[in-house]
Amino acid sequence: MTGSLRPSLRDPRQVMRLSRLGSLHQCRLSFMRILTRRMADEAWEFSRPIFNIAADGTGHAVYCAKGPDRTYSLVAFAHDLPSEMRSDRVIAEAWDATFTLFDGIPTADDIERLSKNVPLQEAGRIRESELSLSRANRSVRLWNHVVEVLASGHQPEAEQLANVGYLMRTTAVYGSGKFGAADREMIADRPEFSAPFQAEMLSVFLTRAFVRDLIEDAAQTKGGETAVRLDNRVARQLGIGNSTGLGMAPFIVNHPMLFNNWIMAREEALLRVRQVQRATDAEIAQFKEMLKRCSQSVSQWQSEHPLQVKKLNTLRADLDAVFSHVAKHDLSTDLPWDQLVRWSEAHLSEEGQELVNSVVMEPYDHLVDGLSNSLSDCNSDAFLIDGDMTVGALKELIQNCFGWALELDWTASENCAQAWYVSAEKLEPRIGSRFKESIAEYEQPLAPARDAVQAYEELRKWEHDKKISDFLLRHPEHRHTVRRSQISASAPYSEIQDNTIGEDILPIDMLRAKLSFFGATHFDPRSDRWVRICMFQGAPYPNELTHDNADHWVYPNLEGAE
Amino acid sequence: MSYSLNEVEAHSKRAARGAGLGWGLAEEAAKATRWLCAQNIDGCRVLTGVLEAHQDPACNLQTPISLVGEWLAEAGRLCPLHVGASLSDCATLVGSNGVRIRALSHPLFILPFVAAAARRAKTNLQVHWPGATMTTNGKTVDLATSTEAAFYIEQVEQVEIIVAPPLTKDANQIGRARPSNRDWEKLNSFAALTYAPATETSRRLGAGAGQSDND
Repeated sequence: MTGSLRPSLRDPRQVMRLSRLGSLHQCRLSFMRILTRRMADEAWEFSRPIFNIAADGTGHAVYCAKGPDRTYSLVAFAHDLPSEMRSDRVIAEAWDATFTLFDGIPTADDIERLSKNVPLQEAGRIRESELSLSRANRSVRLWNHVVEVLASGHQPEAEQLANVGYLMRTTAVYGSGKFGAADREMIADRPEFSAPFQAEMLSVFLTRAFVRDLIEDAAQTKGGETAVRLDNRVARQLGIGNSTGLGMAPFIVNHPMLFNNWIMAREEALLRVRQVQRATDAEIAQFKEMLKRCSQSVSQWQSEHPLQVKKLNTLRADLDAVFSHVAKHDLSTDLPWDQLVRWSEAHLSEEGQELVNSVVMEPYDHLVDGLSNSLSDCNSDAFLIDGDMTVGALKELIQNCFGWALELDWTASENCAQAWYVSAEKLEPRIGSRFKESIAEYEQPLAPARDAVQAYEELRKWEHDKKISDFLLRHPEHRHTVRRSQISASAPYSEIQDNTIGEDILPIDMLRAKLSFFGATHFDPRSDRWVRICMFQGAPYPNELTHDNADHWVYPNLEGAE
Repeated sequence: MSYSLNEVEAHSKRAARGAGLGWGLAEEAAKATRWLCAQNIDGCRVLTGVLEAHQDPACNLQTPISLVGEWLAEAGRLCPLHVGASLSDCATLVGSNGVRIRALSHPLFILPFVAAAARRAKTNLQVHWPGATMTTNGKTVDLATSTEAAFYIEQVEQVEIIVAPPLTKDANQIGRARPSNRDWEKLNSFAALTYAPATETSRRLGAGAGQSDND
């Protein structure tokens, strides 16, 4: 084996392209799987101390999750929402159900206070005793149908359920200090919240249990003694849907170190697996099983969006190619996973390549799972600028990170056609046409590549050995670029290596990159700017969670298997 | 009403940008405000003062002429945000030799940046102006000899930053901020300047038209 063929970390210029980020899939490091593994390992206990839902479907319920040191409670409010008010857009003002994750067990006074605020969502206030704020709407396609079927004593058809995938969709799950909630910094030192977004994932995990109880309750009210509960196997097929819009896109640009840590962990995991010299029979068998189960999940993945339809068709063809490749090629040779990854790079689409990258990690919990400890950003001082750095050194950082951008003509209208802004009406991030709308003066700093080029042009006028502190004294407008460039020195995957304001930008690529780390599946873009996903589909419900089912639930069980 | 520190930071960033500062400085103003609040200092009050001074031609806020020797403005007063950012940039220098600053507006606002310099230089720094002395190791601050009026003063003729002996005080950070309504609303009005007024096009396309979201 020659040195050049030895597996190495993938080049950020390959990994950080938008089309590839927009093709990422969940993996062992996904935040939902980290949560369920931990809860199973620590034998968390779950209870439902309050389920106070009236015949009209309104009321509240409390679901408790008890870990080794602390208990968390989902406080859920069910509402009677007229159908004309039901909207998944983040700008809606009323929902079918609203939620908060309470730090501890709420008293009656807490619930009374929350009942006056949580249903209002953004218009209400929560406190540091609350860790999240969220809401959900019913799937109109399924809810009434399932209530009817259960009320009449039958089970809904499993396939139809699996195709929609959920009974309710959340439209926002706010955490980390939003609307008065506790800051992440207040809970980050708790082991159960050390990985990112664990409180938010826990709230969704418990929300799913509530939704199941709520629909069974509605069926019971309607059908009385004739009504039946959802069969466990059918219920497993139901996750929680989520509609995600532009509000999430800036996150991965605004948190360069954190985003780097996510990508770096996944890349390091992939590298470790590619370095496996020989796979055992058990590891090969597990890979093949997960590949089959993964293909089952892909077959249930529906989208009507032309771009995703095309990607899905390619992905299905890719999967066929992988099956046939694996059937023909022995995986018990040297560096089997590295060989497979290299083959996939030559033969599959980015969707297919990234799927293979996720699935080859499956047999290697001992190589991969420990990396979940490196997903968070604990170094807030990476924000500080090193003013002693020379102009020459900074220029080199920009060349390394944004060399491609220095070649681009940023004055050409197609390269700066769009601008990100925040709308006065909804206070939400938006993207629009720089040349057709009056938004340029409100532009948000979400085009790091263009800004780096602007800073570079100015830096070229300075002598190489001048200090950056002197440069910034004269050019404070470049501080954000200097900061990002210095972060990139220690965080190679911190920057998207693509134009985020070009004519053909697809914000859904940015959304998918983030959502894939949550562990979302079945990405269903509804436009180039918002996407639907499914969370926890296939997962055990809280009281079913065991060591055996805590991890691979994301891959559907094959016919005949447990 | 109490706010989370993340709310303070997000609000402050938008306000600083709305007041006309670059995005990088706005981020730093926001982190500084958050740091002050975490020390139980009214960061929103200080930031509001800084941003109002920025709008006031009579204040004539400036950046230092040079980072060598005393830090001076050519005319008018030094802006504590620009000065603060440079203090943090020059942590090595400040952490070994200290620095003297002349004619500084809202001096309290440089404290978080001095703290950042202390962390980067791994030392303790003392900030002093008449009536106010504060020492920081970067994570916590000792305000022992400061009076409220001197502490929140709008401008001083001279500020001295020197290397100080270690702090004996333990870190006592708090997780919430309780700004006055007046300051919060003032920051809100600055922040509002960063929002693009809605148009028919933005309503239709800004968040992405597409298929029904209610099925």
